[in-house]
Amino acid sequence: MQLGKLVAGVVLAIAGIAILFWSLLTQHPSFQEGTSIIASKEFHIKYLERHNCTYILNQSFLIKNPSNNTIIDLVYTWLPVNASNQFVRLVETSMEPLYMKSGEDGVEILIFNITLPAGGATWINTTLQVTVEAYSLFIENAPWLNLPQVEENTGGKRYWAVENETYVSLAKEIGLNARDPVSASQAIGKWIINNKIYVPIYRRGAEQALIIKDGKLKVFGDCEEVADVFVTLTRILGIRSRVVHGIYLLEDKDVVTMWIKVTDRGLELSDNWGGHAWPQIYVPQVGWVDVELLEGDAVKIGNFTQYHIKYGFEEKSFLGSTISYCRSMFLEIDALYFTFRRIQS
Amino acid sequence: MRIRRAAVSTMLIFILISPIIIARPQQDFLIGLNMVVEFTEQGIARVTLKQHPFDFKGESLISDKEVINEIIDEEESMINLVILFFTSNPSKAKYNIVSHTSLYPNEEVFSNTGTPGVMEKFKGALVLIVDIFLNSTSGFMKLGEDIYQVSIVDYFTLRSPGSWIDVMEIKFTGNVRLLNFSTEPTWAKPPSLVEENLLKWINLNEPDAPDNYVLTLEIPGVTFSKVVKSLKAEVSRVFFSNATSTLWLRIRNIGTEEGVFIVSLSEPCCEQARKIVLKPGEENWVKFPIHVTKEKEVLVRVFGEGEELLEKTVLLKGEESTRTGPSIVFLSGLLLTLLGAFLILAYITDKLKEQKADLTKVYGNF
Repeated sequence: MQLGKLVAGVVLAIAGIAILFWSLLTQHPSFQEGTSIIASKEFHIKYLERHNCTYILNQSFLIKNPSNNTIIDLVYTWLPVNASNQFVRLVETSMEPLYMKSGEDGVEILIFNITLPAGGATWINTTLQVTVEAYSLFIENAPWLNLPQVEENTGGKRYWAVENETYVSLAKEIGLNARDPVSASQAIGKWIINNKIYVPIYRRGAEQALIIKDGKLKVFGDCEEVADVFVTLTRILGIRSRVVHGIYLLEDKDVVTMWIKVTDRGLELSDNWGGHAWPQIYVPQVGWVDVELLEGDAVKIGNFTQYHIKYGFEEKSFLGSTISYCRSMFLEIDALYFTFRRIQS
Repeated sequence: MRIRRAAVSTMLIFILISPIIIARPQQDFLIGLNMVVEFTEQGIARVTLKQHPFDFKGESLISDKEVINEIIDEEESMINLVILFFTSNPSKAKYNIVSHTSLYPNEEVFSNTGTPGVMEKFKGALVLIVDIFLNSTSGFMKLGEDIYQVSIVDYFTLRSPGSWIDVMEIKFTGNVRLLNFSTEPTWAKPPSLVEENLLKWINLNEPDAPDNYVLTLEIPGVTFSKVVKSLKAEVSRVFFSNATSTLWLRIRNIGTEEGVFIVSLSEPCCEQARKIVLKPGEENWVKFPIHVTKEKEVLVRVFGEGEELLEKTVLLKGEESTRTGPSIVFLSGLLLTLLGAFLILAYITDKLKEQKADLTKVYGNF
């Protein structure tokens, strides 16, 4: 009888303790309607750093007539653009331009009418003052775009395969959980950095830039593929984004010269050639914010250095940008020189 | 129009660090291109594209099979370019290939070959004919009863500023009537020929050639049909986190088709929207940062295929953790534990009593 009392006591105690633990572990904090004060976080933008760096840029293009006849031709030269965080002033040109033309997405092109005798050659020199604003931006609690902007500006283009199922799944996996567009962009940037296989190639667009290696999706290509993948993923999530084409100064010197020459073996580039592409996102009340995913291993959103020179954007143009710095129809472009002289930093 | 099929000039040189760029093995040549756009009733634009390749000396390459095959092989990209003349969204444009690119020895193509002010006549053309349904293009806008504005963008110029259309003819047939037209840029030359049913531009150089043509037309019989996607969605759950000031909305596709849904949230200060692609039956959370401080209600709307699918007012409740005392389960556990402890204690007490009684028996009372 007494043993039965002990057994019953032990069983009841164990059961009771178990129920106590279970109830403590599974207990949810219960919520009741509180006061009308909502602990909102206001949209917060702050420039942590802003400084200008001014360069005198000399663009020199060698134009040749390869034919046996005199050729009169138009030569198109691209200029750095006036844009957010970049201010450009045309100082002089070695010959009078015919006119200036703005391409799609605001690319600025200077057009020269050149007459060259058979086998003749000439240089077109353009001097510009380019001020780049390096900045570090703190953005908190950024809102998403409004409905018209999402409908109008987040669709697909030739290089941005927003309807591709792999991209749709990937975008959901990486960025759907983010509460604001900057956090989503940050997550996408991080994924790209962690999964990129950097190989200089011709632009192939986002659809061809994703490959499977060791059972995992990887971004294969160079700066353009990185930018295209980023723009595709962000657009799927409803973030307005675009690609910037320009030059990146690989050397931090007072004078930097880079070049491309056409030789019998094809194109030759200087070791410091810095043709570059990077994405931007549009943040309401801020405007276009630069995103750099190839400066170190960090995702840089709104952390922009003075080494980036913008030549053009690609947002609305369906087939993409055609910036080639200098182009003509019948004449040959045999050399392109870019010299940046830093005059203020 | 002239396109330069150049190996070097079209190379992409945006590579960050590019030690080697391999030249493409394509032959370098130019293409003279004449375009005829014929507007017919029911809103169809029939585009006839005539191409004639030539070298840098202005010599015809129409008998060069390699060049001809290269042009024929690129028909698809050429069609895409033609569609882009009429729309900024080619994926939604409807078109029909009337005649694939083929060689017509007796056709003529006019083109400038580099000699200023001279238009050469070439015999033979590669001809492509495509019908474009204007009601599926973004450049087509209804102005009034049977009155439409058609914007045609010279996409070749946009792609390569040095390219232009050598000869552009715009024709109007049937009951289609031209009411007005204009071109851009302002310095572009006016048409060489203006007739009731024909506009014709002969462009000797790129600055002369228009980049855009804007036409006001009377076109009877245009109907706008739309592929209706029956997207349906619901907001299956709502959660507001006061701590992070985040509104969570669980969006569920309750229709039978996969689609892109745009979830819009209207706060008094601003509207925010984000996209989500959902398969039938699929659901997912989307989050929004909340910026209001006093207002409690926000409006949630879900759109699909440009249509509003639902509207819901969400009351934002400031949440407050209020532990309302121990639960029944907790109390039951506590009761059982105490009962168990009481029984064990009773057992120990009885045992002690027994031991005391046994000792008294052996040693007697002290």
